[in-house]
Amino acid sequence: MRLSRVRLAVAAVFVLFALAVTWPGALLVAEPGPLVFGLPRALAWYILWILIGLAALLVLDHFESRAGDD
Amino acid sequence: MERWHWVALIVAAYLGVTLWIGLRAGRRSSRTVTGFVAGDRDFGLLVMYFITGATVFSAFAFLGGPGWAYSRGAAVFYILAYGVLGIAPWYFIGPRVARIGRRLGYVTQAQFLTGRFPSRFLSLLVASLSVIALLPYITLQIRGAGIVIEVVTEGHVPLWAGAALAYGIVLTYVLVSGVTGVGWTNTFQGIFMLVIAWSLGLYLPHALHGGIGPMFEGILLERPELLELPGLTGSGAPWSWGGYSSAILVSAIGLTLWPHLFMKAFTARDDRILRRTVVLFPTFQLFLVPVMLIGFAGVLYLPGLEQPDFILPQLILDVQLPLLVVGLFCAGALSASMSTGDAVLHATASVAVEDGVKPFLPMDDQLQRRLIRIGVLLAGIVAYGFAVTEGMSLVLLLLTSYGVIVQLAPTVLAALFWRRATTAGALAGLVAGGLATLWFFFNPALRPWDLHEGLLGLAVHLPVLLAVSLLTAAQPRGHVDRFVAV
Repeated sequence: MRLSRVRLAVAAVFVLFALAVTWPGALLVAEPGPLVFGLPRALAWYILWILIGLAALLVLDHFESRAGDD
Repeated sequence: MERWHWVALIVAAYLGVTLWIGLRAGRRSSRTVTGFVAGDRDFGLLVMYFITGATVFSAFAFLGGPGWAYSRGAAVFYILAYGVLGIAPWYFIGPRVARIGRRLGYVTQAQFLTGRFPSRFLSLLVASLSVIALLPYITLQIRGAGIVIEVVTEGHVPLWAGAALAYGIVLTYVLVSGVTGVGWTNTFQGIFMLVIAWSLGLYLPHALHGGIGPMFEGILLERPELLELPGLTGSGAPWSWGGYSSAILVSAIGLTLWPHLFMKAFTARDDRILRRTVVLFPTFQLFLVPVMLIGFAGVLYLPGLEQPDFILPQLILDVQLPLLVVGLFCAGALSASMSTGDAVLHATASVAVEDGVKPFLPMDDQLQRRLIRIGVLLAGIVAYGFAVTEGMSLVLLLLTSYGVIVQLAPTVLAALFWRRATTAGALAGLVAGGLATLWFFFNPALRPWDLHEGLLGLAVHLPVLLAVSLLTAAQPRGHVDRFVAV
């Protein structure tokens, strides 16, 4: 995949991230129950997005350093 | 020996190790301003990771985080949301800033900004803004350290003495070793903090409620409003979506603009290390999860606590944990406080001298180093003074400064990416945005949808920056190239 596409995709992930953790995305998990893996829905949702953010950054870094080595 | 003697002993051992690491670290750096302020631009991945992580996670995260979870419920999740969002753009911006810094010899944020927008007024403005924003920050850290020591020694070591002891040590290693001392102690303290937070965060819900799931089921049954987004305000009323969402955005935008973090771009050995620091940052962010669990563990166990910030030390004492754990917790909380306090103290003094004094009074390297050291001492003494006197509305000051710090975002972005930006535009935008932020802060009723004043300040800042820049003469191409085409 071309580096510019990867950058665009990662940027899109972070825009989604911003929408998912604020209004209106966070409305999806606003209700207090039921619990997910023993955690409140909102907490599980935020942890999920941190992991998605981490994955996106790892992918980005992989492609960036490969491009840097060429 | 009584209980608190043992605790004091463990804490003393921890402080001793920190001091030893801090003093040893200084042997590595050169006796220049770049050595003292930017560690000779030679920090590796391990130190960069912890200096970024441990600096962000302050006494607020360790004491305020559980306090928020305890009293404001789901509102605390905003802290989880903004960190990763805020650090991600730094993957591209950080290395650019670092490259420019290496080439043009910058060690502070204002040097970078006034490099692109030459103006001594801008330098002074950024320096005063930084000092005003950072002093209450240090004060809160010092107070946090004092509180922890006072509570776990059952009042035998009063706040003023505990704070003086912990920060006497911080001052010593910052004065001797500069940012290298900050870096290596933060690495030690960061590891310590992570271990303590995870062990307590998993242990307390188990000890008090039989597990994390049963704990939240209990809260869901008795206090469901606590688990509903966007949580509650400080007074217990439901928080607004506008307030919650804009708090996340403003915190994310402001994260890397705090001078003590921005300046760390100048300490990294190379771009790759800076990038890896950003990539790994979310793993540090997850450390807030156990901290929140601790706060939730207190909801049904110790209801009605008047000062929610005391929930963590209070739980520790109430649950009758083994002495070793109490001592280690105390050391962990001190780590959180000291690892932020040292970086901020160091940044405050460096910025005050480099950007507030040097542009007006040329001086040699040796004098600069001496002045920065005096600055560290002065900032420490002033902040300590505030910390031990009651009645200062520090949180208020800190909250205001957050909105103002965010105003640096358009200026930094324009310096790096917009060729047509001019000095007049940058200054006008910064002043207009800053004033608008203050105005909305003091007139909260006028804020549409309860939006954060910093965001409203940005809404004023951007058009002013654009308009004034376009109305004034463009900067020479050769000058702009040194910042934009890197």
